[in-house]
Amino acid sequence: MSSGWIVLAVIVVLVIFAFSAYNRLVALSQRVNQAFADIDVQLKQRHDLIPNLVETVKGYAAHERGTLDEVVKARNAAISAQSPGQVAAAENQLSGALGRLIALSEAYPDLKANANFQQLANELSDLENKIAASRRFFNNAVQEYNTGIQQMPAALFAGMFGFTRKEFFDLGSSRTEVEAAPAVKF
Amino acid sequence: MLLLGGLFLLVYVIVFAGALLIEVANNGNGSVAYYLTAALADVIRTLPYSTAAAAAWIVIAYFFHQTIIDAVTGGESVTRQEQPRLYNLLENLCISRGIPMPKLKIMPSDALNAFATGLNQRQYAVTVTTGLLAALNDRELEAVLGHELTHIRNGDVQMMVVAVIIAGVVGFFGELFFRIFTNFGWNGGGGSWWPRSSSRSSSSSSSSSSSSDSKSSGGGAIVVVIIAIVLIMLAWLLSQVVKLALSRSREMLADAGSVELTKNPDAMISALRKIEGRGELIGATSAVMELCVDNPRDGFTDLFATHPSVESRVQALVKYAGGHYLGPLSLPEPPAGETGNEANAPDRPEERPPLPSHGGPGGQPTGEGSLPEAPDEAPNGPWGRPAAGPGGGR
Repeated sequence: MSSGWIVLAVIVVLVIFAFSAYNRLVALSQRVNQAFADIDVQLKQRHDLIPNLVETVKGYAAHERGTLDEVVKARNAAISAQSPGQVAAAENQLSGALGRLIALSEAYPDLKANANFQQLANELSDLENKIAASRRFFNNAVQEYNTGIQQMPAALFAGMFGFTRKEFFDLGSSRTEVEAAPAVKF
Repeated sequence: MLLLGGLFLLVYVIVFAGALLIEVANNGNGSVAYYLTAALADVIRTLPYSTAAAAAWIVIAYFFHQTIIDAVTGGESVTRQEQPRLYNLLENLCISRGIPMPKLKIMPSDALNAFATGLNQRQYAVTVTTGLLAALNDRELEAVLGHELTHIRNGDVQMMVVAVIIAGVVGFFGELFFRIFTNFGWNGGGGSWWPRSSSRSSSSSSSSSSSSDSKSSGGGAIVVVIIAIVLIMLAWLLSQVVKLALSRSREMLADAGSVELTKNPDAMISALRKIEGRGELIGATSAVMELCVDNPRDGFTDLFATHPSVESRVQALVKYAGGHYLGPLSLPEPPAGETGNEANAPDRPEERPPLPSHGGPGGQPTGEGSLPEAPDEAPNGPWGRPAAGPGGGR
């Protein structure tokens, strides 16, 4: 058995390894992209709910201009945000503003009893859960991808194919603003 | 797929064993080699029929699996409007893991249980009893749904259905051939220790019955009969062992998967404790019970316990998932009246309170009053637990 054949066999095996590693990393990377886009689906649904909510609240608490304007401004900022960092920060602001708006209902029993308002508030609360769930999915996908590019034997090929680490979805620098307790004004 | 191949193999082995027995019944005087070759010829001759039968069994199970289970348990699909709380919990879990959402069904029953069914993506469904909906809070319900989703995700349902089919087929053929065998009244040298089963007249077998008065046999017949019996028993044992091994470890895996989905081991622990001993589904076959969160049938009723005990599952969750230990819960007694003496579960341990009555006063699952819903933030709620209760809501 000539050594030429052995070398050839080794090369073939390596090539097959490289192919399958590449394919797997591509699949994982696409999953991460899809997961990020899926977060947007939930965020957009939330944007669509807000005008209706603002109108309902205006009907009962028109002079709470401060809170209402805050929500509208935050929504516009979130819609126009571009980079993932901006999107994350803007959406967190919007969550805070919405929380304060919903809390208004405590001071206005008529508003609280309004069926439309209750349904919107429930849907918003469910959307918050869904946004959290899609973020978890995104983080799961990032974790699987990062693990994939660091495990052998794919680790040997990953750098050469241009697969680099991705970042998790965390609050980062905007964490301190989001975690500040909302000031409740009556 | 491998299991399915094993199913066909087991069927052929059983047919071979049966053919051995029939050959012996036909002619008690042959040698071992004669019987083996004759039986082998029988098997090959009937190959189309046995293959077709096994295949038919599989096809029926594949397509009608869900319908059969629904007919047995009375489950019905629900929409998001009908059950927003449950639907949203399931949907959010699916989003968080990026898996398509299975159908959601409700089964009217006071028992606390849930199971997953479906053999492919189109068929996947999770069924929850109304008793469970009423008794568990949101976090615990989420843990149970996570458990069922993990079963679906791990492909457990396919495994269990195939394993149950195998056990069923083997049991069916094994019993059939036993009856044929004992009905021939074989009283040769080795037959006296077999019990005479008082069976109905067996279904017609292909061999003529005129030679049923077998002469006292040569050594070949006894050996071959022993071989046949051993084969049948082995096949049956193997199918049981397969069923067992699959069930126990997969239940543990499903518990772990649930914690992975919800990140809340204490909710799973308290859900298990609430379900403990209350999971009996009336009229459900063994097959359905094996797919449930907890299967209270154990011991001889179901031949072997297919689920690990709730205690061992809680221990595992405490040890590996960072949960906090919670002992068995003492729930208030159900209202007096029917005490749920089901014929299906004669082994219910004495210290557990009897099941809430079915169709009792009021007839509403939530109106029974025996399992009040635990509010999220009441650690000293109606369960009578010590103050250091489970972090169920945290």
